[in-house]
Amino acid sequence: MTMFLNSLRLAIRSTLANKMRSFLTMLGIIIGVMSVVVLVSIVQSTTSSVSSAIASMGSDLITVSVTDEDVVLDADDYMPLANYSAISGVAPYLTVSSTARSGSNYTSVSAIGVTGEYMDVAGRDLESGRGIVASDLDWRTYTAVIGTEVAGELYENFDVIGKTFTMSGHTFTIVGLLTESGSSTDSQILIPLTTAQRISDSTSISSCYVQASSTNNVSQAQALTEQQMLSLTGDEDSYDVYNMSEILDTMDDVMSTLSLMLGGIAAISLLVGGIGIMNIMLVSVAERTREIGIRKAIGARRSHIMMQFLIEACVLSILGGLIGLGLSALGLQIFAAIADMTISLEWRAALGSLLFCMIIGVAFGSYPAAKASKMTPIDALQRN
Amino acid sequence: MLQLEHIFKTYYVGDETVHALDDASLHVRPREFVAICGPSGSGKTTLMNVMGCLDLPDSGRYLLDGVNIAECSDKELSLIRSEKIGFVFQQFNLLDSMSALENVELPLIYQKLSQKERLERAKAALDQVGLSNRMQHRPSQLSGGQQQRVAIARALASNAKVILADEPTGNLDSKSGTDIMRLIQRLSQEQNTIVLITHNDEVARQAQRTVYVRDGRLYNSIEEAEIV
Repeated sequence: MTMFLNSLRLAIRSTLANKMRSFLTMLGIIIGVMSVVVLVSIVQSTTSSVSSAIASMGSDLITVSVTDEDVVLDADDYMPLANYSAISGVAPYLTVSSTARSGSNYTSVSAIGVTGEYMDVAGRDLESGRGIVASDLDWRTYTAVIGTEVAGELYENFDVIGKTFTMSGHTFTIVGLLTESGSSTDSQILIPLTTAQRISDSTSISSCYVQASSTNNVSQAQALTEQQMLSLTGDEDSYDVYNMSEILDTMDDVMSTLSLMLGGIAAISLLVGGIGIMNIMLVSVAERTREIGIRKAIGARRSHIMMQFLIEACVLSILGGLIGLGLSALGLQIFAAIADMTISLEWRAALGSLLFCMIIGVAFGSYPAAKASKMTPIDALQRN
Repeated sequence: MLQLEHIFKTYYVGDETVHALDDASLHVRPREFVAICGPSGSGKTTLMNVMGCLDLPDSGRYLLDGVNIAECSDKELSLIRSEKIGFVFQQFNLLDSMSALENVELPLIYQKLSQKERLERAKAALDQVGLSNRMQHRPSQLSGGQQQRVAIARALASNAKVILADEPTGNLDSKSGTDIMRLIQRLSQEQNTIVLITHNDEVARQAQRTVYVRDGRLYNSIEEAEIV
């Protein structure tokens, strides 16, 4: 143990003695760790924000979207689906991209024209106020239920019920505030479907949520929906019907493959960093041949010399790893601020890359260390 | 203490065969101060390397404190070097990155002593060579004579039974050389076994006994050596 501490002290001292060289050697590791941690963290954070948005909608949700622009359906075309016992709710909706203004504040939003059922079906909850109701649709009122991010952008507080804002040339009165979801739905505004149709000057509804009555008959509900869509359009290529959990699974697959691939590519740069360490350790062994000779002459064993150089390689790689981690955390915060996203450091990637650094230290330090330890004392002493 | 019997050691330099040690036999008794004297290339450094367990002979038997060196593993040889032998080299061979104190402590680290014990022994050794006021100096901040005294302190600190000194005054001016020889004389009187290697007859004369080396062979008197 004392031996180990002494070697560690020596290794730190020799690392500090050649600051520039040590830093350049560590740079390979630093860049490697940063690329692994930053890339994996960004991919994972993006995935988790998208999947939490999808998951909040529920796995019993079926999404219908008409892809053929020539097909014109209105809300009533979807409603017969509600008569099936496998289906508990149908919510046709229409998305309008626009800008909402209040005083000097403005923000771009997606305004979604919805029916009274939409919030139940899509799994949205109210923080305060009320939702869009049937009479709003009948009267085509300019009422709106807004997400927390919209509230923040427009009013800088959540006390928004009864306030007004303008959008697409109309003044809307806020009647409700949605519960914060932490995903892109926070920047949505819900308005009556009929009002949305008027704003967009179109009655065509190309999207609809269908909710299965239980998670067990999702596939039955999906089949019924597809059947209905086929009879409405007569062309099975003009629409898509899919289940949220399917999308979630597919996306998870794609994202984990992606992060594995990015992580793998970044790991190659770590490997290159490791080779840099081996290179510098070989130089260090050559430079310190005489020192090795002296140490051996006064009683150092092979294992002592081996340990000394191995620890030095590990100090370089682990220190590089830690600096890389620190810079990654910093870089991610900057990135999150710029991209306006919540990105958390991916701990598994961080621990993994630190572990990898240790392995690199041992693996790439072994050869130079073994080379040093195998020198005979007189050979080492006689070299200058 | 040191018993060499019919030691042979041959080097091959290119096509040439160098008999560095040719049937060398020598017995150094405990507390004896022996000088080994010979011109350069006579094989005296090889002799010292063999005696210091830095090098193994091709043939012959070498007993150090009753232990047959030929039968020792690499690990055991390290242990012998650590505990029984203290080296003093012509080029001092101190580590430049460390202070005088740390240099003296170094062999004690390999002896696995506690930090407290190491410090005590290292300080005592430096005190013995009169350098207690230079403990924190780096070798590069010390004069040659002082560096050699640090090296001697390093040999003393490990409580070595045998001190092997290879031309300890070779790189020093005559005054520092005299100081070092006086120190070695004193260590001899303090019951240390000392083997001193030199090409300088005057230095050799200060030992209790002188062995002469010529072409790898050992002789007990200069006349004997000269005849050959």
